Amino acid sequence: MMEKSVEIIKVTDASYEYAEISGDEQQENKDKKEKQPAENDVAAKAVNGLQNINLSVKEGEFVAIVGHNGSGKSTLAKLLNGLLVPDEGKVEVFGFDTSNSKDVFEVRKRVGMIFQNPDNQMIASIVEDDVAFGPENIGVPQPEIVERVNWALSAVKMQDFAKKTPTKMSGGQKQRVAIAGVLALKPKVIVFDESTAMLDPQGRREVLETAKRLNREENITIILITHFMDEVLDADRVIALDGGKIVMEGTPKEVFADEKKIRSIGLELPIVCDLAHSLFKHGFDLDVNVFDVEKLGDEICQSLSKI
Amino acid sequence: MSIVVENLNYVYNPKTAFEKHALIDVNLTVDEGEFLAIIGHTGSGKSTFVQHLNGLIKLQSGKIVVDGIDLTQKKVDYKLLRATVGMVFQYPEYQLFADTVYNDVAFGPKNLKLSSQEIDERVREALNLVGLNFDYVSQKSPFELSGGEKRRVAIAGVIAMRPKILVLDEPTAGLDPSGKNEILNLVTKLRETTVHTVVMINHDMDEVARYATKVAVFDKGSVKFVTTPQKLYLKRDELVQMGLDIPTLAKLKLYLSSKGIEVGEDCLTSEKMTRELEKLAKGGENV
Repeated sequence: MMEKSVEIIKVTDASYEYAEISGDEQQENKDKKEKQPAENDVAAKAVNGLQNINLSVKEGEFVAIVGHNGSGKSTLAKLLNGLLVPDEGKVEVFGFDTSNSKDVFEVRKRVGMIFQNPDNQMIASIVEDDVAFGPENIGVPQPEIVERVNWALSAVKMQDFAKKTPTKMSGGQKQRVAIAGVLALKPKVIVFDESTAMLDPQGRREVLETAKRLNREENITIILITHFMDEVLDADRVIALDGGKIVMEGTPKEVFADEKKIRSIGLELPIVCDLAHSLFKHGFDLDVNVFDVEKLGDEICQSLSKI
Repeated sequence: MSIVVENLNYVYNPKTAFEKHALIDVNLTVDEGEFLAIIGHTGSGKSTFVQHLNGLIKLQSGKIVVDGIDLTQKKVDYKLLRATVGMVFQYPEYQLFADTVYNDVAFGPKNLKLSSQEIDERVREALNLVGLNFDYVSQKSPFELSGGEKRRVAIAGVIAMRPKILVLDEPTAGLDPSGKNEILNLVTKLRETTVHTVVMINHDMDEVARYATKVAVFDKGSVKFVTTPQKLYLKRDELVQMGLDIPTLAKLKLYLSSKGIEVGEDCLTSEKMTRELEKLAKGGENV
């Protein structure tokens, strides 16, 4: 078991608010803020801001972030590699303050990001060129680029596609190439921002398995943002956001044990867990904290045999 | 019959180096009132198939009849066809364009050259059906709304055309769980009111299990089989081989069966599975 005690990301009291479109509107909004604070809270939610986020991520951790649309998940993701800088508070990545513009490359070298749409992340017409783009840009010497590209492509099991063109590949394959492109920069952390949302079930499995494998075998810290509750079950820790605040935090078991709260923030239980809760309410004597079909099956067998 | 498709074949870029046989001898019928889910791997021909249904892709060979409109005829009334079949594409919110929600939803009816009174009626009806408050949203810019709301505005634009058949291409992709439920409940509500028949492409087997009455499985351009969600478990091996899966609770049914516990087929939601297991528990007490 890898030691997970070195703190690599530290977010302290970070807040972020998206700017309004025009200066006038902003002024108007400020006026409103003074008069009607309640209404302004709603507006803040609508623009996906963040309020007083405190978060610590340890090296080698697998952290899942969940929340409804507009809860601030993607904003948080963008804070982690300096794409956004908090209005208030601080984000430190490997000791570098992301608000310090001269360190931003140090931050981005260490924290890679995979976005939702695979097509938007391809820049070259050949897979290996696409993967080489990152290291070329940070001035890695040619022989090492080749080495890194080969390693990155085999780490995502796409080595056979090195000379192929991304246009003919499936969404899952394209996402894996995008992951290889990030890996070629040798990051310590990869943030997946709803990277499976546009994929079919097989593509989702491929990307998720890749993330888990990189976490396990390369000790890369994974931060997985997702809407699919079944994707977070193997995470070390789940963080739930609502209205720009962290409202739940714990192991998947701890978080999903509070069915009411999960539903109140617009999320759902994974279906297996949902059934377990339903059975329990109908008098079945079983453990509701199960996420696995076979485990729930065993619980049901036992429960039935007691009757 | 709402939709009849016989021996449908489609080739992209015929007689070129890029020739691709996208649909191979597709036969499928959808009855009025049905909710057909189409599942299949990326590139299995699902989208090519549904684009035939409102004439976006012209018939090459085979036969399609949609609500009595025969697409093999020389002169097809495409205007009528497109008024009959409403099409909601993937990420439909990307197609919003007007300055206000009202104008966006009114765009279709305006093009039908309806009176402004009728247009107003339709816009109100459509926004009401998708669960948006007319007074609250109609004068807003569609871009001020949340993701789920935008998608509902886009669907309202299709509903305002009063289609009899609604075709949706992955309507829940990218939405959070409550957004997904909103959209699927909306489709269910539309089925009970204005729309008679629904065809939906969806990857999520648990959603399919919850809402569809019939499932067609596409693989490499052909329809492998048509069944009901409740009977998908019988095809587990075939589906897994295609890179697909069966609904989660169908897996549970199979697992329980391997342990000697047999639950009925209608067990694909938590409520239904609970009911099935309660039956067993009560049966046990009697013995």
